[in-house]
Amino acid sequence: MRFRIYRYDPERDSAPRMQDYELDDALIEPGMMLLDALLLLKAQDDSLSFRRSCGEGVCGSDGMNINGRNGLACITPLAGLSEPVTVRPLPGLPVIRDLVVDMGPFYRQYRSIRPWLQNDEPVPEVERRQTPAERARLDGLYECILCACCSTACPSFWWNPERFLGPAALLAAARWIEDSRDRATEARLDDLDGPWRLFRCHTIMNCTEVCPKGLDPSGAIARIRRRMLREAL
Amino acid sequence: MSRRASGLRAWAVQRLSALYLALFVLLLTGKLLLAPPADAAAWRAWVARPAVNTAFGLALAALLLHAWVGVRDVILDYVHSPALRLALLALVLLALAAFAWWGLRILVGLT
Repeated sequence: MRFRIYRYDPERDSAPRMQDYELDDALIEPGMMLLDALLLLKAQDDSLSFRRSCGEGVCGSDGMNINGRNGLACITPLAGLSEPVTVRPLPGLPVIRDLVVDMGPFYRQYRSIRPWLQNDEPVPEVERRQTPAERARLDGLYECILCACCSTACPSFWWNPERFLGPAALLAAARWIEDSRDRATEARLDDLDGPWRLFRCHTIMNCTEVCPKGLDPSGAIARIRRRMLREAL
Repeated sequence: MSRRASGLRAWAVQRLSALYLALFVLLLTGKLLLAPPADAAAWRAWVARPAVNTAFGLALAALLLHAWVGVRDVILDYVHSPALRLALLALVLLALAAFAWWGLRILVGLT
């Protein structure tokens, strides 16, 4: 099986290049994922760098651009990929080396939405309880693994990564805005108003299209807009 | 044009103006297809009717507001130098103001 992989070591190379790799078909087993193939290629060429950890789509470490589409290498079956399998780092983030990108700008936007429960009321004797209906509002919002596949597929995030939060951070914002136990809803909504942080979103929906966990950041952003509108009227 | 410039308001204006324009264009097309005015004089007389004149006035306002939000979006997306951005936004605003004046003169001139 043939692969074309993005290679770049900023300390040594003047420019990135695409390197061809060949993997012996005898090594490929049915049901193998792209990450397994990358590990076999790394055994051939140990200078090839990429991130990986859990290997089963839970940690979100191995987000990369696979044949032009962002996804997690560990849950992308080799069988469905056309050859040569072209693998590039997530677009729009600075490359540290090969497929390893600097997630700093992505995490900064995530941190800026204060992704924690804000509630200054006295701590109750028992947990802060929710009804099943209140809890259900968090479904589809809390499952994000912060792999950055969505934000780095978003043109608005490419153009304005410092000012536009990007779909992942906005999904997280929706998760806290919807939380019945949170008391900072008003401040959270105010923080998202203005032309930059949320409203650079033009409903392109690449985020929903690529999310490897099947979440709907685009829908979450629409929910925030509706909520803002309701509060404003 | 950054921190407290409108986000939600601009977005709502864009949606509302789109709604009005869609309805207006549909009705106008229907009128022109089903009961077209016989000549220029009939057309002028029709547009001079207060209800029609108001509808055209609202359409002009909706069109200008819609254009402002849309062009502003494009400039905010792609123009990253603050000075150039401000200059372009001012230019667009100036052009839209000129269109508003021109359109209003025509509409008022007919009544």
